[in-house]
Amino acid sequence: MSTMIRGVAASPPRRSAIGRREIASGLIWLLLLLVPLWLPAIGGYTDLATRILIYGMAATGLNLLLGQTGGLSFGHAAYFGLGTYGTGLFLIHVVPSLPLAIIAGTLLGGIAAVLVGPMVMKRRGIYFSMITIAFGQMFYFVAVRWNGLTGGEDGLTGFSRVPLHIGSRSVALGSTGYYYLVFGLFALVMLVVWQILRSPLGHGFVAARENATRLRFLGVAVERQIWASFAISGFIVGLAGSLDSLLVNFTSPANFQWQLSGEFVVMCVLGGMRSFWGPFLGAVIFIGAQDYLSSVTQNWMSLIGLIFVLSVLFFPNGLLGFIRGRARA
Amino acid sequence: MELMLLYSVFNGFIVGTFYALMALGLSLILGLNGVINFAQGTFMALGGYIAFTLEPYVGFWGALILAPLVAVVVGVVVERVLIRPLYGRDPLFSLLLTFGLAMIVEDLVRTIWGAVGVPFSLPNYLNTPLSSSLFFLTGYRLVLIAITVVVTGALFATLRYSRIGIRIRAGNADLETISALGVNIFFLRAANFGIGIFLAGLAGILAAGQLGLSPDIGSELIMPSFVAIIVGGVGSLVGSVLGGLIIGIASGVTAAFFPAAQEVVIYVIMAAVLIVRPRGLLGQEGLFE
Amino acid sequence: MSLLVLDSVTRRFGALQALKGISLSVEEGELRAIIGPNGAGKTTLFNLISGYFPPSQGSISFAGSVITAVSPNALVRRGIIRTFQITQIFLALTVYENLRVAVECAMGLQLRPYIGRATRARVEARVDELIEVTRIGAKVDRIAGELSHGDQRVVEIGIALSRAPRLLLLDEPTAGMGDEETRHMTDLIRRLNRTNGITMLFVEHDMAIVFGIADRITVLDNGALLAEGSAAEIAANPRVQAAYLGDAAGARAA
Repeated sequence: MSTMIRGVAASPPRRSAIGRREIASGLIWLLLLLVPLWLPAIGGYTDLATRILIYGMAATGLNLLLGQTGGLSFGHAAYFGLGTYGTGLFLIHVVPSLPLAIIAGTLLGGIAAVLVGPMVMKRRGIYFSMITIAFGQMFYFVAVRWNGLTGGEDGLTGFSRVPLHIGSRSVALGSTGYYYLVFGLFALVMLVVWQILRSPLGHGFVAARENATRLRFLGVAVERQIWASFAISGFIVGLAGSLDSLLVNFTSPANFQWQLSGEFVVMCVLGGMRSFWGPFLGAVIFIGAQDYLSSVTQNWMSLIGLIFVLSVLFFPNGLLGFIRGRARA
Repeated sequence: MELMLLYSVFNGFIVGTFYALMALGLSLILGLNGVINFAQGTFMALGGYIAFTLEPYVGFWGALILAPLVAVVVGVVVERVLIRPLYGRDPLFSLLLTFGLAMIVEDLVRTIWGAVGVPFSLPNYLNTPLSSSLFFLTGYRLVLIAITVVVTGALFATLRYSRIGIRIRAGNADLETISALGVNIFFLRAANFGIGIFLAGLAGILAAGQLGLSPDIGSELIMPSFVAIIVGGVGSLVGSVLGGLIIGIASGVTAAFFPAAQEVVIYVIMAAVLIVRPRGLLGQEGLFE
Repeated sequence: MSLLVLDSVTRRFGALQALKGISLSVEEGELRAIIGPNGAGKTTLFNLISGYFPPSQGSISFAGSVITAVSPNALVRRGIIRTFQITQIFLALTVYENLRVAVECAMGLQLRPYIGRATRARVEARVDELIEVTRIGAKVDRIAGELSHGDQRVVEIGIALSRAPRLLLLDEPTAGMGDEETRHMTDLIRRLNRTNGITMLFVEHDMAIVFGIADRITVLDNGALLAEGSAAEIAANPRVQAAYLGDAAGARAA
């Protein structure tokens, strides 16, 4: 107790906070690992948890650009949607291999982000948002209009989660099996993001957000950093999309729509854009609320919209920021 | 063939006027209020549906005048209550808020007026083609163009010559300075937002008469309006109008010859503009960044 | 050989002549002050040297090669680093994080998602060096935005030093500082010049500082070079006294 107080007085509450944060992280990982054991007991179902991991992954990927680099993308549904279609089309037309299909979806989303990046990276702020929204919509129309390939408005069916081949054994993935596949990839993504945030690349992202001008005066091509951030987040969101298509064995143009892009942003804001776990926490709250609301009312879209409005007006620093602010006050 | 081309260009031009009106309203609000009003499409749909409800009582012309005004009242209330707390904060928040607003209103429209689209009936004398060879030329389409020209002209004249217009333009350039000069910027922002919403409401009714009404008409028309601003150049009102007409015509012509690409083409144009001339046709460098 | 040479440099903005045929040279290891009333062209001079815009006429050379049309980024890589009238640092980051990101960028690591132990150690050693030189050690864990103005300026100079400048341009380094902060800053400037051998050019309004630490002084007035020389020469120069110091000295006396 006394050492803690001394720690606070000498320099910011650094030491003690790191300890608490590690315990919190460990607890989250433990809870996620044991989901199939405890979730049904409180009335949830495993596929809901899988969805939360998928959207949490997407939000974390987007936040690398949004919260860390300061690029206000409102069009990331594009890369999510491409991930879903890439995986579905690969299973239908190429080979029925789960790992390859996931890689194909991820690459499709990621490469699209790599290509769109140069057209937005020179822009900042509002302008950046507007262009990303518009590009998102472009992919929506491609999906709607390219009927022969995508199934148009009705969406893409005819593919399913094929069994995973491990050596000579073939493992069919039920709800629980698929949860653990997604969990493994989620853990991998979180590890990658964590590593990036403590690397020079991640430090540069934050510096670009804080003061791009200063960074430029140091001789750094800030555009390239924004591009890198855009591309990495595109790959992660593409992977999330790929996993989502395999969860429901279906995809449709709705996965490209502006509502979904906005939902990713709201998850980040709701949970806290400046923290590592914030976007995931936002996804937990948002997907949980969506699942509940859509089961009790027809007008759930209004209520989701209301979540947007309320998060902006009352939790601009996210729930984690809000709690920390309370704790400090 | 020539008639076909003329027909598709004209069709595109008509749609382009909707884009132009929407983009003009968005640009005004973006300029002085510093907000991307994603709910602009929502206000447009609202304008159309209010006109649809009012028409049986006040007729087409009555609805044409009343509906945008009702939309303006709603818009100004929204600005006072929801948008005002966000001025000066990260643009992320106002964009997110208007996203949410668009979802709420779209859902309410669906609840009140039904998920299925409704036809918007026009007086018969406006709906008949003026000549048999130019079958696509109806009285309504001419009225629509005339109204758009008059309103746009009046807006530009107001911005150039009236006191409030001059203040809006000055506020665009430097809000702090005109605030220091004693101009009431709270009022100015509300008025400017109201003008922007008026344009959306008007576009709503005009589009309703042409395209019919459906709950998602707003979100369908707002995206091309963004593209119109990017193509025309952020910060230029004339550019927004020009951008709207260009992509409208491009989309109309594509619809005639390669229908599957009629929407995608405008994004291709946007990408081309961003690569060749990133600030847009008439845009200023470094605005809102 | 001189490190920096300006040969009859003129810069026009439309009809306005901001700088008129300036020629000057700065020696390696020199601490040079630029003074002159507001609007004399001091900041324009800095902008020209750091490559923000090219001169309308004349040429600039640095370390023996002409840099008249070289981009600011390329000049940074050649060792011309500057600070600004408005402090440019990363306000939401701690002092340590400010210096670390600067060092990483200076070492060309800004696109590396992973660095090995050895590289990390090199980064940390370099950051420690900067902390040592700027003597900001007691505040490394503080958020930069919460520091005093003077300390923020020191952080900014630390960031500039990460690039190992051959020529450091400081635009009003002590503007808006109290006595104590000013003393720290002048100590730092002198130390960087004398101990670390960094050639420096600084714009300053406080004559006590200028005459206290500068090796040589360049006086600009209305875009033209009015005088140049040692502190004693400038103080004795009647044209300078008439145009500039007269007022300042008068104000100081009063």
